[in-house]
Amino acid sequence: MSAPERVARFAGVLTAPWSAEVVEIAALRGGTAVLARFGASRGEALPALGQVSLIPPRLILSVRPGRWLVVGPAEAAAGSPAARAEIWRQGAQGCAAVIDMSSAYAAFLLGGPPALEILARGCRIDLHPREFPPGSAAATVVAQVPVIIAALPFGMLLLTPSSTARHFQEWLEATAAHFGPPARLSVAELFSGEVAIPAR
Amino acid sequence: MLRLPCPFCGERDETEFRFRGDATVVRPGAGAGLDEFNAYVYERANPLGWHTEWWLHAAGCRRLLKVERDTLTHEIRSVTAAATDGGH
Repeated sequence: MSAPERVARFAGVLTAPWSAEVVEIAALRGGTAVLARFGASRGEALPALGQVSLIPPRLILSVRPGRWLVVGPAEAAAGSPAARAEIWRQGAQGCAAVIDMSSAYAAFLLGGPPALEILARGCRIDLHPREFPPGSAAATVVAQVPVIIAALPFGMLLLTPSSTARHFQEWLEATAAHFGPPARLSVAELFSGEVAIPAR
Repeated sequence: MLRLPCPFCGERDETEFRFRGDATVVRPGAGAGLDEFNAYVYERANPLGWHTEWWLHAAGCRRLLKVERDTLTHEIRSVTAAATDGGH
């Protein structure tokens, strides 16, 4: 059974605070084509505005024109986010500003069937798969704070500024509590597809 | 509740935006007098009906948008991006 199928079968809330590294790539005027070519040469094609592409163990999303966020697990072995930013900075050949934003964002993953209902209690955009299928991404407001939402096959990735992360996590936990005790998973489990859903 | 169709993000709630004022105001030339600059900074028409205004999509794409809005009915006639290229 695949990871998305296992998550879908678990009738509860899955949450995972994610110690993610985030690198922002902001194209300068006319720099989008250079960035697109460099991304494609690395096998990390830059998605269109409002979309997220999953390139395990990382994902790339775009919610602002000409800007992309590369989000991935913080891995000491793979080098620091600053080193990853440097790769893109060199590839951009002066056509983009590349910034390590790991300290600026806090990441959460929310899965399980109640995920949409939980988010609907604080979010004004329609997240139903009909309107917001897996692969979609948007920047909006949830629980009065800015949140970037990306729909992934196994749930929702939520990025909020570090300064509002504690409030957002408390809101998420308080809202999710109505749907039963959450099961905490590691992000590595979700990405690897080896999701061991706990018995309830 | 006012909803604005952002050209980048789609229709979004007013709470995601920040009103940035009249988009028809033109800065006077450097040699203009005090009265002209006073009018430029402080005096606004506040019309009833169609109005062109700036809205910043602060919680979305962070783009500045030029919106034609009817101040009586809240009907939106057009929304365009202030910058069509990079813009940052």
